[in-house]
This record gives sequence, structure tokens and C-alpha cells, in this order.
Amino acid sequence: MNLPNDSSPRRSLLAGEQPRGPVRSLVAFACKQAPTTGRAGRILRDIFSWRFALLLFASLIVIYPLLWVVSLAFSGQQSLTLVQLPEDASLGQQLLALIPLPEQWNLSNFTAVLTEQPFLRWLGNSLVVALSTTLLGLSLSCSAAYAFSRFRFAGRERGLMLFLISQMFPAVLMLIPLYVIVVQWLGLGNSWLGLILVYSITALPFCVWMLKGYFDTLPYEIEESALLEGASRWMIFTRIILPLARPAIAVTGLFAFMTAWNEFILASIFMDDESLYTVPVGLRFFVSDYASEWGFFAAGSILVSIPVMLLFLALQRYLVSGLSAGAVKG
Amino acid sequence: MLTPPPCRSLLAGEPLPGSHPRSRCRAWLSPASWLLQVVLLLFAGHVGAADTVNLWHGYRGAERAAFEQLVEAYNQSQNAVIVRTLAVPYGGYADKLSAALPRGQGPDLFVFAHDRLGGWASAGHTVAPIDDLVDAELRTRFPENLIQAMSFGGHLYGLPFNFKSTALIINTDLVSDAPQTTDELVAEARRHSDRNTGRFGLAYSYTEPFFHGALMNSFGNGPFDARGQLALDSRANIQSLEMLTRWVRSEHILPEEPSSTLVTSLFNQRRAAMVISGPWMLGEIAADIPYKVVPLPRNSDSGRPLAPWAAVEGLFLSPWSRHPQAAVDLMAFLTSRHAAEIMAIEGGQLPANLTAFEHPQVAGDATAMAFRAQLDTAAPIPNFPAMTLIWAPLENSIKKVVKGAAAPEAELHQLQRQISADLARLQRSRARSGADYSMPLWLWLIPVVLILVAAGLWRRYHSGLAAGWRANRNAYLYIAPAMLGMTLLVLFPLVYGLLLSFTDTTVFNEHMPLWSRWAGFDNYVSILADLDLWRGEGAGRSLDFDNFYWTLLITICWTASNVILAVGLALLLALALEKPIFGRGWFRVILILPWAIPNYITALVWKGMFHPQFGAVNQGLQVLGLAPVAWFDSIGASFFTGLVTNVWLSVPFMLVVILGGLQSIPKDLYEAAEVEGAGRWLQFRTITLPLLKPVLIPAVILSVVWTFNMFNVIYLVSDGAPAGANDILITKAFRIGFEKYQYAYAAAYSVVILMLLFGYAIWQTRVSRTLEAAR
Repeated sequence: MNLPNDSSPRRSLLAGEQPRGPVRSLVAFACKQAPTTGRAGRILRDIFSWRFALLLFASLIVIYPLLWVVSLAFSGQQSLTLVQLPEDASLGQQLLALIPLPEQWNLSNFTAVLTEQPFLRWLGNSLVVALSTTLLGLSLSCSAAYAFSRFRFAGRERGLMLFLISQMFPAVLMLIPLYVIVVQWLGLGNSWLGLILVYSITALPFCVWMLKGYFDTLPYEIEESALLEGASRWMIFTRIILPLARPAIAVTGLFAFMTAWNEFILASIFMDDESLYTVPVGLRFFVSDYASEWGFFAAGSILVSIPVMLLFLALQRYLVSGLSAGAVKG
Repeated sequence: MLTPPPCRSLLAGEPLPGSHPRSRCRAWLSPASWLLQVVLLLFAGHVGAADTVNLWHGYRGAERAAFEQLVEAYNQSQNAVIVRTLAVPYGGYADKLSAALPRGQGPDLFVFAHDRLGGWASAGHTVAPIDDLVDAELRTRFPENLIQAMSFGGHLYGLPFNFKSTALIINTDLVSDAPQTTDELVAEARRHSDRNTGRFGLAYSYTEPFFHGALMNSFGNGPFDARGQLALDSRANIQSLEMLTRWVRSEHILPEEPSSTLVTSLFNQRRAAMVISGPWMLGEIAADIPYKVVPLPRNSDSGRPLAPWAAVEGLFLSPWSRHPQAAVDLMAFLTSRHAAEIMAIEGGQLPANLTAFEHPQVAGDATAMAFRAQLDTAAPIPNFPAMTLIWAPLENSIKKVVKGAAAPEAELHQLQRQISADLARLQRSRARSGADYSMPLWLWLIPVVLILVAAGLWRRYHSGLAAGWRANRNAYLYIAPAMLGMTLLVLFPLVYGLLLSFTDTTVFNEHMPLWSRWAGFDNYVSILADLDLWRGEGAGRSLDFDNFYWTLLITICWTASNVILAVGLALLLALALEKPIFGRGWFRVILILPWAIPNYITALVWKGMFHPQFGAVNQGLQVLGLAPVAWFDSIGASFFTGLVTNVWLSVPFMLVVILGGLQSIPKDLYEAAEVEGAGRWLQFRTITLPLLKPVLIPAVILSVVWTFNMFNVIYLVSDGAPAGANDILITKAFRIGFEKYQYAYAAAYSVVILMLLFGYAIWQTRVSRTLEAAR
């Protein structure tokens, strides 16, 4: 008898669209052979299932616009080559013409971006700002989320709501008051500390909501027995809860990181020293109202995205369990 | 029972297995010193010595190198002050200036285009007149029209540095003789135009007022009459739009949906024989394209030459500078003949000190001399405060007219009425602010009443509060740091916005005391009580897209369709990804990608893909044998462009949330259902959906709030096209605040947004709570 998870792909294939002709016989062959040929058969069966078709289609849609960015970055040029369908060409050739590929591959955009301005330095600045934001944002949100999750106190509901409200006021209109507070009152213009403060607070609501939900799912019994053994609240928080919540912390940390990593307008307004600019500010040098160097911008964007993608890959296994369990009782 | 933290060994500083501590130390030395620097910088405040003169500019590339070389030379030449330059990217420059200068911060002097001068000078606190610091000799360096561009209300506010105007750029392989009149231009262009193969005789960003100015000025006086009064619907301006419409709609010599990127690409691929553009484009012309620059031709209808608008980059003085004389000395240095020659030769700029064009190297440069010749007929952009109100609405009107959605005359009349009303609003606030300075007594009552109420509440509840504090001290201590931050950086801006929304603050009276700007509920009344969705009468009757309720309707449709589609698609993909499948890991990474890449660039790529003629979407439709769609012409199609982009951007977040939710559903539930013979659909409905609900509801609330305020996608992709019909509340608020300078009105909009979302959140949590109770 087949195991349940072994049989389900085949059933889904039968429920989905019916392949015809040679494909059908191939699939029939694959299905028949599946239990014996093992891996190869499973792969074939996977490839002809509706799930695979759907995922492939979605991936193509996701990748297509990104391909434009990549092709522009590697083209060595500043503006996109326009698509123009060859006339009297076959359907295949016409479709091929729609795929954005540079006429020749060329790294000159990347070298120009990296050498003509202190791009690596800006990347380093961004890294410092984003990591500090992550650290500060996480320590603020972990402790707040712990309190929201484990204590029952007056103002708890209202406090949670307050965090949500802060996401509702349009950010573009907070610019001037933030400038007044950070630069004029706190005197933190032209220092990363000002940026880090603002970014951590911006990321706080999402982090608190998600972490609070995750803490809610952690069993309370461990804490109770620890309390009986005389552990303090602080010890429980740092020694039990935080290690257990690592997946959620990884995910909210990633969110805080991205908040700081991609922000442009505040960074450009607060910083009065070019060597202190963060990388999104540096990127915008390539775009202006008159002439825009889109090739440089694309190359820079790819460079900027690499650290984030690496983080995504590193945290991938946390990503799924971290957010969901966090949201279960959020 | 305590679980030891697993990363303890790392924290205790034990070396990682297989690494040699000593060599690691050496390798880390230089990063360590960098780190030290970083720590020092982290806490560094303003690094301004007493004798530093700060100079902000927006140059980059060769022009920047030339500019900084000049500043360096100036620093070498004298000992009184040290000039420090700061390059600011274009996108943040205006915001940076308008955040810093009115608050006593910012540079001593700055380089910026002159067309905002009127607004700055009328608002005050942003630029300072330099009449007393400049002698007559210095003024004679510049042609009179450039000095006029830098003057407002009888005062000189800065010295002209460089100028930029458009001219005609010709592909000399395709066009041998420069056209002398617009009739010749059209005839020549027609020979090179073939819409079906994507070839055009002429290409330029004709929907942008800066470019259309050349036509307007050749018929008459531009947007203002000779006395400086707004005259958008003058006979001349109507004629200019009629001529443009003819070129686009009957001669077919111009491409659709022009943008500077499109114009450059067309020229580089020899698909545009002639383009109208400025010196900024020269660096992007491909090496194998032979071109020459010539002044724009004569307008055959009016007999006058096309007069492009010139933007003058001026050196402006901040009113807060502690070294005004030194700053003006620097201006004098930067505009000297020697400096101008360097800016022209090495920076490729067109210096306002025209003696630079006598330098043999410049005089021998046909391109530079062509732009120099164009300056004789060019007109500096009017620097009236009203000018800043015109750009965006005029662009909308031009777009409407060239697409045939409106007649030139009716549209300009409508525009004139609309901008006059905006202008009147601004003037009213200025008039009011001058009138009364004394704080009305009743305003004192507000803080008094607040204090009394607080004291009363304290008396009544303080024992309870104290007990609550004692009981929950731990909880409050855990929350305190986060709450402190929230109060400072979220609550304060919120209260600021709330206060602002009860005033009639505009750019003109920003500096008056609060009570003199107090307007009560006026803003809210004019937002909420305007129930008339139509404007104009008879044939000219059309929907008023500026009406709050129209924008609200669009915003609700926008939010609902986005969230429903994103959740639906993410659910579908998550179901497909849930069980093992070949390439699962890859699919998971790919499907999350849109989240990782800055949405600024992907939004712009999507906009490019929706271009009606050259976009990949329409090309794909044609391959499939379907008719192309004019994506930005109708409300529905334009809405669709934003929707597709935003769903593309927001599915990854939802996907991650739902994937996790699916994993937390116990597998034995499905097995039990299968035993009882439940089909897949039934399993999905009775197990998957209900158990996903607790995951989905918070995610949906957050994503509704985010989508409701999704500024970037609307602003970058459809930009509210057509004519602001697709603006959502937040982009409308932005336009009111930053394009019309009615800060208070924009703040009132924001408060309304806040209230709507707050109401939604309460409703949603209540509904989900009742659902839970019912379950």
C-alpha cells in the first residue's frame, strides 16, 4: 500500500489538466514506473502536475521584470533597449524578442558604480545603520512584546492599538515633525544615531505585533516551573523565552533590517556629510529629473539587493515558521 | 529547569573550531579601526567649525569634478574661511532644503534652479537678498535676463551660475539641413515617421510643461501675462496646445507617452531623427550616432522663434549664514571668467558668465555655441510663487489634450479656474497672517482646561493608578523603552499633524504664531462637506477627481482589490508549495524575490513594461494577436497597472505568512477527513480555511493599512493617471502638501486617513472576535 504523501501528487495530476499525446504516454509511463524508478519518476511526476505548472508560471511572472533590471545592469548602457518585434517573424522569434537580454554582456556599469563614488563605503554605512537598527529595534520590541504577551495590566489593549495606529499616519507627512525632533531638539542631525532611532521606532509596531503573537504560542508551563525554582522574570525572559523564540526574532530582525536598508528620504535629509550617506541615498544620485543613468541605478540596485538576498537565504528556514507561529494569535 | 542559551560559547569568546586566533586578530585589525571610526561617527553631532562655509549642490559626474576643483582652488586662495561642499541627490534635494532652511539649519549657500525663488522669497526664512553685498560691477558679468531670473520683488537673491535650456538635436545621418521653421520641421519629421515600425521624425517630452514652454512662449507670453497675472487660458496658450495636438494626432510625428528615457532610447536607436532636449542628454547619446545641436526653429504660425524655457542654476544665500560676505565672495569667485571657463570646458556646463564662451576651446565647440545661441531667444522660467503650482496640473492638462480627451480651449479655461482657486487659498492665508498678531484669550483656556481635567482625573484615580503601577511594575518597565520611543517619534508627530490640521498653514504663513493661523474645522468641512462630484456645466461637465469622496472610492477599491488578490494568489501558491515538489526550495526563493529588491526600481520597471507602444505588455499582446491597450488613458486600465505592480510586490509577504500557517495545521486532521471520505474541496473549506484564519487576520489588517497608504506604487507607476483620477488618499494628500503647498489641508487629509483606518481596525478586530466567540 502506498503511503499517503506518496499517492497525493498522482491524484492531483489526475485532477488537474490532462496532458495529451506523447506527454500523456510519458506521464503514464512515469506514474507506472514511479514506485520502482524512485527519484527520477517522482521528478517527472512533479513536473507534470498542476502545482508545478502554477509555480513555474508564477516564477516566470516574478522573474520577468527582474530580468529587465539585470539586463540593464549588465548591458553597459544607461537606457533600456526598446523592444521592437521583428516583422514577419515566427511566433517563437517574436516571443524571443520579448526576453530582455543585453546585446553584449558587460560589467562596466558595476565597475563605474563601485569606483566613481564611495559606493562600498556607503554600503558599509548602511550595514552599520541597518544592523544597529535591527539590534535596537529587536531589544525594544522583544521586551515590549514579552510584556504584552505575559502580563495582564491596565492599558494593554490600548498599548497594542497604539502600535498599530502609528502605521496609519502617512509617513510622507511625518517628515517635518521628525526633522524638528531629531535635528532641532535632540541635535542628532548628521549622525547615524538619529537615523537608527527613527528606523527602530518605525519598525517597532510590526516587530511587536509579530513577536507578541509568537510569544503567545510558547507554553507557559516552562516559565511556571522556572518561577517555582526561584528564577527571576528577567532570567526567564533572557534564558528561556528569547532562545525559544529565535525563529520569530530572526524574521522580525530581518524586517527591521530592511526598514533601515531601503529608506531614502530621511537619510538624505538628516545627513550633512557625504561620507556618512547610506546606500539608498547614494543610489539616487543616478536619478534626476533631467537625465537618469538607469544602467548605474540598476547595477547599484543589484549590489544593494545582494546582502538582503543573502540574509533571506540564510534565514529561509526561519522565515516560514517565524512569521506564522507569530501570527497565530497575533 | 533552565535551558542554557545555545550561543553561549560564542558569547564567551571561545574561538571557533578550526580558526587560529592570532591570524584572525591581525586580519581584523583594519576592520577594527574602521569600527572605531564608526563608533566615533555614530555619536558625532555637527562638525562645523566657526569659519566653515557650507555649500550644497546637486552636481555629479564631470560637472561635479569641475565644481569641486573650483572650490578647492578657492580654499587654497584665501585663509578666511574653509568651504565644505555637500552633494545631495536630486530626489531629496528640494525636501532637504525646505526641511532645513526654514528652521535655521542647512548650508550657508546652495546651488538650485531659480524657478522656486518667488515662493522662497515670499515665504521668508529660506533665501536672503544680496543687494547690499553685491556691487554694480559684479552684476554686469551676467546678461540682464539671467539677473532678472535671480531677482524677485525688486531684490536680488543670488548670482546666476549656469543655465540650461533645450535646443534641437539632429541625427546628421538622417537629417542634413536644420529646419528653420516649424513647417519645415514638421515636413522633415513626417519623412522619418512611421508609427508601425516605431520611427518618429521628432521626439521630446512634450507633455512636460518645461518642454512645452518653447511653444507657449513663441505664441505669447507663457502662463502669465505681461503684468504677471495668471493667464493660462490666453489665446496664445490655446494656440500652442492646438499646434502640439496637431503634431501628435494628425501629423503623427511624435511618440506616445514620452519620457526622457524613451527619447534617449529612440535617438540612440536611430528611430528618432530629431529630438528636443538639453545639454544633460549629450552624455547619453551613443558613440555611433552623429549629431549636431541647433537652435529651435521659428514658429511658422506666429513668426516668432520657439523660445524654450531656461532654468538658471543660481548660487543662493541662506538667511542664517553667519558669513554672508564670505559667501558672496565665494559666489563672485565661482562666477568669475576663469571659473566659468573651467565649468564650461571640464564640467560641460553652460556658464551664466557669458565671457566663458569667448575662450577658444569653448568658442570652437559647436554644441556649446548652439546652446549659447539658443539663450538669446530662451526665456527664463517665470519665478513667481504661482509657477510652482502650475507644473503638475499643466502636465495633466497637456496629457489630456494630446490624447484627445479634452479640447485645448475648454481644458485651459478649466485649468485657469482651478489654479486661480489654489492661488486664492494661498493668498488668503497670507493676508490673514498679516492681520492679527495677538493671541486670542480663549486659546489660553485650552491648556488651563487640560490641566484641570488632568488634575481632576488624578485626584479621582490616583490611588487606583498607584496600585496598578505597584501591581504591574514589571510589565511597565518592560514596555517603557519602546513606549518612550513611540511617544517621542510617533505620538509627537501625530499631535503636530493634528494641530496643523486645525490651522490654515501654507508655505506663506508657516512662521506666524499658531493662533494667528487657527482655522478651526475649516479644512475638515471643505474636505468632507464637498459632496458635488461634478464640475463644469453642460458639455464641459466632468467628474471632479479632486473630490474627497471620489478619491476615497478609488482608495477603497484599490485596497480591497489588492488585498483580496494578494491573499488569493498567495493562498494558491502556498497550497502548491506546501507539499514537497521538485525544485521547491528554488520556487520558494524566487517567489520571495520581489520583497528583497528595492520597490522603487521594480515599480519603475513595471511602468516601463506598460508603455503603450514600447512596453513589453503591449508587445506581448500583439504577439498573441490581441490589440494593444492604452494603459494610462482610461481609469480602469490605469488602475490595473498599479494593481498588477502592487500585487506582484505584496504576494511574497502573504505567501510567507500563509505557508507558515499551513504548516501549523496538524496533519492528522486531514488524515481523519480522508478516512471519512471528505473530498479535497471539503477538506480545504472545513479544515484549511478556518485554521488559517488566526494567521490571516492580523496579516490582513496590517496589509490593509499598508496598501491604503501605499505611496510609491501609485506615484511611480500610474502617477494618478488619467488626470489624478487614480490618486489614492495618500498621494492626494502629498500633492496638496508638496505641490500646492497647503500644509494644513494636507494634514487634515492625513488625519482623515488615520480615522478611517482606525475605524477599520476596530471593526475588523470586533468582527474577528465575534467570529471566534461564535465558533
